[in-house]
Amino acid sequence: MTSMTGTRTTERRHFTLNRFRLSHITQRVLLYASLIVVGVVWAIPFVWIVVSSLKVEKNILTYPVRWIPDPFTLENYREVLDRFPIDQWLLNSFIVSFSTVLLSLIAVCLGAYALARMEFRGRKFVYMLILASFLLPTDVTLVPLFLGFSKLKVLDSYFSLISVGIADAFNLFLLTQFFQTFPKELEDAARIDGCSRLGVLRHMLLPLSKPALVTAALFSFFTSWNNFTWPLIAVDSDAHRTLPVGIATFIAAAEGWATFYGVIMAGAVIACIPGLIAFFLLQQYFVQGIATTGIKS
Amino acid sequence: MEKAPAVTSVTQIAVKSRQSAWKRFLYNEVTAYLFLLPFLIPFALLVLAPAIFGVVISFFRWSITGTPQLIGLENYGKLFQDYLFLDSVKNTLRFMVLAVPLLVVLSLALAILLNQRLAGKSIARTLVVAPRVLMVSAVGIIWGWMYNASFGLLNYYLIQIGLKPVSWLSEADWAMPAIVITTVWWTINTNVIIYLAGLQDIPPDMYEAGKIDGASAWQLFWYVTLPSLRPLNAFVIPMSVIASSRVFGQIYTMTAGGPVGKTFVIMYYIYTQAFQNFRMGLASAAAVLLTIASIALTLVQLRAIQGKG
Repeated sequence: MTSMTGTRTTERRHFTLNRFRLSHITQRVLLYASLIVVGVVWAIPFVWIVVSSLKVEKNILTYPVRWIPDPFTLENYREVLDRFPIDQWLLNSFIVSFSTVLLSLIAVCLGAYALARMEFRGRKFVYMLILASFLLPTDVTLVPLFLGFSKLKVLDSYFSLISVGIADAFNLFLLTQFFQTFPKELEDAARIDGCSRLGVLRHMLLPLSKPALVTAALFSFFTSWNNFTWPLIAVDSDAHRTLPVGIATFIAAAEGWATFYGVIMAGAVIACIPGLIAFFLLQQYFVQGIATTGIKS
Repeated sequence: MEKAPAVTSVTQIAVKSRQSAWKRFLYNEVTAYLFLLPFLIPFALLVLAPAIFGVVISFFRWSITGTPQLIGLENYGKLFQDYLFLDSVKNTLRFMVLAVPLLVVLSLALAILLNQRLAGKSIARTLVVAPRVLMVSAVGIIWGWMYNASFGLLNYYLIQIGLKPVSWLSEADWAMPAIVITTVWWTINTNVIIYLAGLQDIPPDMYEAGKIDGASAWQLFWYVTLPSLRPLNAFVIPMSVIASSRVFGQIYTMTAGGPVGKTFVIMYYIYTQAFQNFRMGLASAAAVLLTIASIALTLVQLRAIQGKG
């Protein structure tokens, strides 16, 4: 291949890297090796915990390490469901997360529409205020929220867990940006025809916003589902405990890994399942949402 | 639209325009704020008010039972004399120094790797991103087991390759690195995805032009890839720093701040002071300091990143 000026000829089959000349084949080999290493490193913890959870208790603490459970057993799963109220924790997590997503999306869609499409006094101020909340680590709000809910006697309740997730600034910005990409003329046409603001939102924007809404819903769901610190602090009864906090109590109960490793592992695997299912079904939305964040910023 | 009635005097004009201005306000601003209300009410009550309140509490001595006593800056003074707090700051910094370079540089390297035309790259991508859906306590259990001193996978393979096993979570020097490795496994995917998107946005002609002029791969990276990613760095680096400064869940699950307090970070300090010792004012003061430090650090970083040419 000659350059435009014809003064140099460069063989593109050689790949220069820091003064080492690597042939194409070496390059490919290195890349594939790296890819395999990465894949293995990321997959192993999952595989290992699943394998371990399917082993009979006395076979878990073995040396050397065995990758095939023999005998294969579901006993750990039965025991963890017996010993710990995992079903209650799962239920609580579902209730809290679904409610949060539902309420949050309503609030966020309405608010995003206002910010995206309406001209009103104080718009910039509101926008800045909500933006400022990003700078705020949740740590400052933990203690006051705890005290507040405590005084109102609603600490250990679904209310305290759900309400904190409704004002989701992240999704608000996501949807505001998204709504702003719609051509204003469409809306204006609809409104001239007598459509109300709410109508425009409901019948025009929302149906066309499905991808953004799914992404927002996923974000909200997982933030709520995986939320640890606040539920840890707010709830101290199993009646309202959510899954992440429940799982953490295993370790306390086990007095630091005492006698039932298999049960703990089964519990951890159970905790991972809902997330992984959602992930494999909806991968594109996860990636899409994160990528948008980074770029839009 | 209403038909303007015939106007017979200046007063009438004035009255008319006040009325329609009022109507406009009613329709416009009130509608907007009505739309915003479902968001703003929880926001004001559960985000803003607690934030302000958090700062206010830091000037009081308050346990949950009992009345708050105003003590001004005393909490802040106590913090700077509390070796537990100072240790927590040191540990947090240690975590950040270990974690942030990995989270930024390794994620870029991974993104580049996963951007190459390689068979099986989508499987690798899926595997790298998968941990993001896991809850912190599950991650803690999984890696706690990997790090098990006697039967853990890590030590087993270390022995296989002839190295000495390490009591990862109970050895003072290795506990924090262990937490860092776990954190990277769990959270690097965020940065990887962002960088991947950024890499894919770089027009291939830029690389072509560079290759024609005889640029090496390294030069291409340095003069084409990196500059194109600079706006992303302005996001990725501060976010990684802030997130690292607030690490908590993994430590709570894996080491409980140990061994001998070597993984006792600022968030852990806040947690124990507030919810075990019930020293709300002190905990709030620590939280306020953390916030101020985060903001300051972010500003410094943004200046540094955007200041470079």
